[in-house]
Amino acid sequence: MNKKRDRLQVIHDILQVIKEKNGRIKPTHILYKSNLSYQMMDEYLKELIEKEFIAEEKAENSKTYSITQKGQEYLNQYKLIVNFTSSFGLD
Amino acid sequence: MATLSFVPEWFFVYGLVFGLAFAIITLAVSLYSFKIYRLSNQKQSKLFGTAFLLFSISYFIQFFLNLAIFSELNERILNLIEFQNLITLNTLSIFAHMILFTFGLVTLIYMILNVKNKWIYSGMMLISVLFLLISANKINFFFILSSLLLIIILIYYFQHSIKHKSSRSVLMIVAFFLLMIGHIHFIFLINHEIEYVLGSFLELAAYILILVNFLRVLKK
Repeated sequence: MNKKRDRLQVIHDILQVIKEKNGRIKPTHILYKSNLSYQMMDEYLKELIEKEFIAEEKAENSKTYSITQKGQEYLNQYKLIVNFTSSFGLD
Repeated sequence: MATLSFVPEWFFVYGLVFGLAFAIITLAVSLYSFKIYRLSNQKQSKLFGTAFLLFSISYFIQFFLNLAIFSELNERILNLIEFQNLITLNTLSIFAHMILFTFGLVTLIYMILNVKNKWIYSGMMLISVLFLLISANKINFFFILSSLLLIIILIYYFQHSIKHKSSRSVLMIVAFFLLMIGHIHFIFLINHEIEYVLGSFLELAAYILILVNFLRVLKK
């Protein structure tokens, strides 16, 4: 992953990591794979839950995250989103 | 922007067509921007879509009111009362356009500021409309205000292009530059019919560039 990433790309990368793990992943794996600080990752995860791109499931001592239909749609349409936002200066 | 008082008679129909074209282009960009918002939940897309929707409504209202004026003028010889009605209709179309277009520009400025405060947004809207309503020469004030807002938007696009080292937003820089020149042009030359036509062509060029930018996105 590139060092300089904008928000849209970071969101894409996190969702891609979750998708690659069969749609369910622990936060430590996201931290390792997404190349973010813990604080940044936590902020992004909260934002993604709020946007309903991912869902959080709590077990006894652990949390897992899964990608939702909306998150899947974001991944599928990512190129379109990036093209529009960069062409109209919204990124 | 076709208005009864400044438009040369021969240009009135062209002005109507231009207005309809501006309305359709801005509506298409707006709807697509809302689609991007639905997919990404990105606040900027929502505000951009709202701004372009306001531009579109402003042009549509003006188009339909001017169309009504045009058909009235063509249908029969007017008496004084009917003529007064046409003047009222024309004034209404100018005011609706000015207020909605200003709201659209203010929405773009709020998007650029990137703050999450609805009070700031409402305050900006209120101040701009209040100044517009209390100004002695409302049309001139509208073009001065819109030119200033367009300068801020232009600076944003310059900075964006440099920051992102991207040539993709160059079309938007040129488009907003042409819109700005068009509006500055209207401030000084509002009483000259032929210059009004030139200003309208500058607007047309700006919206064609926005359309080209939009079609480029669709093609990719």
